[in-house]
Amino acid sequence: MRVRLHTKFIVLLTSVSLVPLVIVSGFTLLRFQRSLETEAAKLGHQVAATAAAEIRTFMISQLVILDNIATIYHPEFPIEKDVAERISDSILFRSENFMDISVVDKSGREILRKNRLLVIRSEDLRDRADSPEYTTVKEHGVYVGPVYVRSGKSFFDFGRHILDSRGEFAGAVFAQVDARVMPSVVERISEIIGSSGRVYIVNERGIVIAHPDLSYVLAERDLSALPPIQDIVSDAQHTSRSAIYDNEIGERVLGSAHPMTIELFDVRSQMPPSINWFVVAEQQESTVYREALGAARFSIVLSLLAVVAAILAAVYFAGRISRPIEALHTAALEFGKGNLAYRARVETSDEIGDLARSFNTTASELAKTVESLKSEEQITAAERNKLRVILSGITNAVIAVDRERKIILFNRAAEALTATKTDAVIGLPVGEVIRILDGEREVAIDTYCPAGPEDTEGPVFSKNDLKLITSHGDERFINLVAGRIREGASINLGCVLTFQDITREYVMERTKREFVSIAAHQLRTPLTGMTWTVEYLLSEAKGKLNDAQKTIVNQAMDATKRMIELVNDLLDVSRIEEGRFGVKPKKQSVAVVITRVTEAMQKQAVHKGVELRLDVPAALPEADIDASKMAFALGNIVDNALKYTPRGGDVVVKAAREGDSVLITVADTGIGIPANEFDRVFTKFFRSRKALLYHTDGSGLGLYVAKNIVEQHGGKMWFTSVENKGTTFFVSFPIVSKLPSDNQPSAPAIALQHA
Amino acid sequence: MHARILAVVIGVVAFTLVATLAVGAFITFSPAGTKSKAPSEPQTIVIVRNPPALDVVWNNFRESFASFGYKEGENIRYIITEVGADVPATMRALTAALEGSSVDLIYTMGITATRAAKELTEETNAETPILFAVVSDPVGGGLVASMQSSGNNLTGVTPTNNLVASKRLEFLKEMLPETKRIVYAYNDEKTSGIVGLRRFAPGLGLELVEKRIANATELTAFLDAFTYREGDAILRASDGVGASALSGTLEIARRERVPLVGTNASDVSRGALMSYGANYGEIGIQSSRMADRILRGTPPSNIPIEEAALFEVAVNLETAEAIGALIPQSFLLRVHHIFPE
Repeated sequence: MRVRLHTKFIVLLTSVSLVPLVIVSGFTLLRFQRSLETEAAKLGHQVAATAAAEIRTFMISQLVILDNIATIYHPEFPIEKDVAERISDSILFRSENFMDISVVDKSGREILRKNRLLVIRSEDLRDRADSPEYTTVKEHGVYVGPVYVRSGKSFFDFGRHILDSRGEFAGAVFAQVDARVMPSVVERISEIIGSSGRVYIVNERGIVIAHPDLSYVLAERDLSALPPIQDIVSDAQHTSRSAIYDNEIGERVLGSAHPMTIELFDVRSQMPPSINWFVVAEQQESTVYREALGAARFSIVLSLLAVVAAILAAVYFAGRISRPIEALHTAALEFGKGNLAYRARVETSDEIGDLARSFNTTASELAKTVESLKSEEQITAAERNKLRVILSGITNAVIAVDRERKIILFNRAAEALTATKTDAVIGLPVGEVIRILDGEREVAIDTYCPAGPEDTEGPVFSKNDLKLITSHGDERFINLVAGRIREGASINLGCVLTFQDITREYVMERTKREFVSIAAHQLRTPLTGMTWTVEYLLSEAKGKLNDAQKTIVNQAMDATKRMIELVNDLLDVSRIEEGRFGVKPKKQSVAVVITRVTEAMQKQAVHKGVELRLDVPAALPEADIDASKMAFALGNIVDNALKYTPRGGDVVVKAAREGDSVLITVADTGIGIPANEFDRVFTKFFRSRKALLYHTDGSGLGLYVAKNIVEQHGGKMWFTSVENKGTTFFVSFPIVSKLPSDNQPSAPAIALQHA
Repeated sequence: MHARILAVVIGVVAFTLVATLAVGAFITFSPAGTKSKAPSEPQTIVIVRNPPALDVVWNNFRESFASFGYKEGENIRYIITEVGADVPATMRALTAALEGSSVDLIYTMGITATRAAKELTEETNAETPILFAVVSDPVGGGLVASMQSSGNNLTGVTPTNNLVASKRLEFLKEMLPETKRIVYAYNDEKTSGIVGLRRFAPGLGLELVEKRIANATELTAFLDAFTYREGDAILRASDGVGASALSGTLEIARRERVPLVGTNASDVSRGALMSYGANYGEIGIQSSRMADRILRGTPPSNIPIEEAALFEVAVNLETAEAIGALIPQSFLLRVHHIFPE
């Protein structure tokens, strides 16, 4: 069962205020009750004393009457018998209580007897010498007998001695006294203690001898079973007792029993022990406690008011206390639901208020923290997304593998490249998804994504023109760069494989190459025919040509030759690109080749007005070169130098041994190459903007082919150039070729790199 | 743990509240100090009157009974009938009175009514309590088992006329010493006091002239026809016939100038010269207390038969003068009631 804090507070506060009140009320009532009981017991004592006094008075008055009769029968002053009898009779009837009077002489014989109801004849006189009353009176002077019942009436017997003038016992007077006085006494006293109470007297055996209800006396009711009577009767000391009990008529009463002390005349007269009575005073418990009831009622009313007040106060204060706590609870629940904008509405200035404020402060701080966390998370997510977007956006296929080479990232381009879906490959070993071929050889995973070392960063493998075989068996041409980041190990990132799909370019390039090759071959045939035709015209076999005609035909001859050169260049390029441009190096003099080329160019240099010089040392060693090819390459370089060097400029060709290599330099004082075009100098069909302005014709293939020839020799070709100052080309090749004589160069890489 | 503490606290509070309310309610609504009031349920008492001699009993009873809280028409209803000429006649009257009512008590005055009531309840096997007033020697008369307990549905107050009848003679002799002969007409051998009279009269120097009569008419006829002489006195028998024939007896006594000794002050008030006997008014009061106890549920057998408390001498000086009786002063000293008042 869940009990609301509010309810608990109400209960607590109510009990805190109520319990002491009830306890105090209870104690007060209890004390009050005790004092009432004491009062009642005191009252019982007083009643007993009063009853004793009244009864004593009554007894004494009866005994006084007996004394008077005794006077009449004074033995030494006898009066006439008739008169004495008349007086006695008169006394009997004047006293309402006497039922019978008798006078005995010294020997105990009745000399007079008068009865209220009976006619007493002389023969009815008795001898009472052996009776207890006689012996008692003779001894003590006084006799008071026990109460007894006879024919619907209660009596007790009194006796008093008759003394002569010497104080000697001379007879006695006895009286049967109606004990009805006793009920009347107790009835009167009963009224003293209140209408609900009653006072009665029991004898030493607990039998009623005086009672407001005469029936008790007449029936000689035995009430010795009632607690105080039982106690006092059985107690040798006869000390007063009181108790609360149900009396013989079923009333709940507070009763007390008290011994009756009746002292007749003086103490010396030595009371006979027969008077051993107890006064019992009973009050209905409810009456005894009437005052207590009043007080209790007042207390109850007060308590009830207090209850109401306490409950109201408890409700109020419980609300005051619990409402903020419940508000805090609600706030906590709201916070728990994530509603950090919620604020506990507690505006008290106490500790709970402080708590609520710190609660709210905490909540707002928490909200801020959560906000920042959220934004961080969003940033992280955005980063992630960004990466994904970027990855998906880039045209290159990216596959990231973990350290076990299982795929953990697969971008959209990778999907396109492999024709598989990301979902299908994530977690698969990358080897199951793709195979990489270099030519016909398979590139092992350990090659392109080696196992270690872990902390490397940057490319670990890079190769172009590879073949990728998808899981469907499709073939793709790719460039592959495998990279690694230093932190990769910590995030279980093995390699990032970036594939550039070059299939389309490859195909296009191949088509272009084929076209150029075909076109060149197809052009060469008619050009050859044209050359023959023009040469035939120049031979003048078909008629003499005049000068003008001869000039035109020569021009045609030149143009045709240039066209043949161009086509040859194109064919060279085609051969180079198809890998069919093989060199056949042979140990021979480099100087011879250089000289031949420069001499061939001298005519053109003169024509151009440029000084072409040659500086070749005599000690220039022989080298493994393909003379025609090398001559072609050098010719191209020198031709360019001459072309782009203005009139009056210099072109110097030098050759020298540089270690194991031969270095040939061709320096001009030409127009130079703009710096921003440096990296395109060796590309196919490259014509510098400046060159185009300066010299309109040119295929742009010369340097490309030249560089290829040099490289086929295992050499290098480069240049330095300052615009408008001049350009120097360097050609370096080893003296001893490292290439096998049957060298078949692989697919041309450079051309593709710049495609 | 907390739940248990809470339960205890709630328990204590609830107990406190309940106890407070319960005690409060008990204290507030419990009857405070009522000395057993008269029963609130209406009670019915059949009264068998015995006029005019015993009306003093009834009147005092009625008055005294009211003081116990019995209000006529509210919680007490009297069905009043009268004693008949004899027991059967009274039984008939009583039967009529009892009919159709639930009766809680039959209150009878005099022996005839009491016998009739007893016989009727015995006949009908009814437990209806009978409270008698003015029935002398109920034990000797066979009405009850003993004075302390009747052993049946009867109880009451006895004026002990059986005892005091002879005492009347003593008083008469003392008052009028020259009295020699007592004329005594009685209804039956059970008439109370007859034994004592026969026993004590000679000792007092009195001759008892007895005549058993059947009814009041006979009694009056007897007294009327009787030849009175000096020293004669009439003693009214304490029985129903004596009571009912009192008027005639008084008339004859006055006419014949014969002292008439009545049973009680009521007789004297009506013209008898002297009486000695129980104070009947007191008997009415005395019996009302017993009636209260019976209506409260005490069975009659638990209420001892009481003897009348007061025995009084009454003298009618007017009658004394009328018949020329000289009452000594010494006797007047002991007289309780002197008529005319």
